[in-house]
Amino acid sequence: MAAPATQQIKIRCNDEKEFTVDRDVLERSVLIKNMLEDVTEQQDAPIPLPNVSGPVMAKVLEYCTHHRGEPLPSADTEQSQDETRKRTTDISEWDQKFITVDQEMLFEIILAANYLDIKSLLDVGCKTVANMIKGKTPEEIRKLFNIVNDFTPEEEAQIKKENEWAEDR
Amino acid sequence: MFTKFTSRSWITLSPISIIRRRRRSSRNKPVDTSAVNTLPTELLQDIFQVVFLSHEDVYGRIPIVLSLGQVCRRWREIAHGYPSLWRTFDVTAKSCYSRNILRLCLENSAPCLLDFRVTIQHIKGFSDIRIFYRATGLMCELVKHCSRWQHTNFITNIAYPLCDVQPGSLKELVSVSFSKPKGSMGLDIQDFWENVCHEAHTQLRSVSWGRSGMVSPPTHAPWHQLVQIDFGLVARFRDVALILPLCQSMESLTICGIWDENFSLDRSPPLRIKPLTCNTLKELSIRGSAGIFDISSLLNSLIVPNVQVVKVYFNSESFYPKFPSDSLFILLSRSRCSLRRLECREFRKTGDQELVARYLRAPFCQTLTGFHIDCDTTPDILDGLKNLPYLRDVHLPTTNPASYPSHAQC
Repeated sequence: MAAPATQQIKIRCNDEKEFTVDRDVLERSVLIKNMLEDVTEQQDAPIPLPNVSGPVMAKVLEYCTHHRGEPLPSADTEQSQDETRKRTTDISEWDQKFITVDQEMLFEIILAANYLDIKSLLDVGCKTVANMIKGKTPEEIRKLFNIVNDFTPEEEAQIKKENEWAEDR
Repeated sequence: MFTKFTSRSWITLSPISIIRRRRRSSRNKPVDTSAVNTLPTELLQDIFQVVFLSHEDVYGRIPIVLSLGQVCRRWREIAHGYPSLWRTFDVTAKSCYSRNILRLCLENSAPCLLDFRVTIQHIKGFSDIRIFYRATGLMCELVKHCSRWQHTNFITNIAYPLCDVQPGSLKELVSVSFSKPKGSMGLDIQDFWENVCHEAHTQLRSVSWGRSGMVSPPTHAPWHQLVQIDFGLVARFRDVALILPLCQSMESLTICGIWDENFSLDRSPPLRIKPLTCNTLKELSIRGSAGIFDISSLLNSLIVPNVQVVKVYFNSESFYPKFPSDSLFILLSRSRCSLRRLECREFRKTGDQELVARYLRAPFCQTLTGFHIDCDTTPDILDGLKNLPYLRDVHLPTTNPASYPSHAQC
């Protein structure tokens, strides 16, 4: 018996780039899943995603396609698993390769995962940034992310004190 | 101040004068164009939490938060404004700055509940007077926030500031544990315990008298709701025997033999212990340093059908009698339990290996998936392990890997 044909859904990004994707792939996104459930009749018009650009969506879809069919976390288990999940910064081999991108793309993917509500992708992104931060001094972190040291003299003085406290422990 | 509703949350808008002042002051500063700072606050908070939680030492994470807060103003606001990053900390009296760090933790963690460990070295006498005062100050500071205590762990022989804990103020307390620093005398915490245990607790689940040196468990405690009980060195087995029937929710029990002639169960007047079935018990830890006759009497009275994890700390000095292996063996056989994990630690005598080999051949060990031993093994032990079909996780520190059972991961 032939498998039932998967429904194809169109999406449109903020740069007008359109994608036609299998429904089960798109449903990795809780936002899109809810949208599709709210629409009773089949629509040909693409779903607009004003907060995601075409190149970022392509990456997100690559992730969703690879992880299609995996169980989505239910609302009940989500909270209890949250703590355990955050305790480890381990990332699977495929995910690690997938997320090896430049910083700008990395943060775009995190923002997209947050907007589209793709918990597992958001996790991978946050863990990647956390791994980049781990074990680095504030100066090294600034250099890594190109962050400007914008402390006022008073705050600098307070920071100096904190350093003394921490070093003396 | 004005407020505006955005899709994410309510934000507070500053008056125009403040904005202008800020712009003037920031004109000379370079603009932050970092991609990481395009992330909204809640995502940066999540990332900080991952960094924080991935540090293995639960109580040693505060330096990480301090470090994150030194990157830029935004990161500082996020790190210092995120109470859950500050609620778990270690209190030591090593430095004169300890109190500053503690105050920062107490301030920034509000209104979260607190999990902390107090580690204060053994204060011997007048030469340590500065540390004594510092430690006392720290304890007093903690006591001011006792209504937020959740998980507490005291390793100290300064306990008198705890007397200031007001009855009824420990409503959130879930677990409490006491140990004394090595070399120090026992703690005088009987009053504190009586105070803790007299309250109408709804939360308390775990207590550990560890090596606090306290003579006896408190007379009143919410025994029926305690899930984890470590009688440690404080236990007179006479008292433990009386208390155990009250522990109807107990899942984990740790008992330890101490040499205590006056209160021995086997000496006059003998105490008859009624047989007791502990259906809820899943984990049993026994330290057999001495006074093992007492443990034997206690073990002989128990049935533990659902116990899955047994941890045996042999720790048998030459002048003490041997670990009560017969009693434990009979207890586990009689209970018809199916163990998942057996841990044998702190060997001192060579004869202990024979006991372990005997255990591994017993029916209650045939379901083992995990085994830990921290001394040299014998061919008998290795043979016993090879015959265990479900064994996956084995820790044999000094044995030749070639002789490990092939189906187990060592």
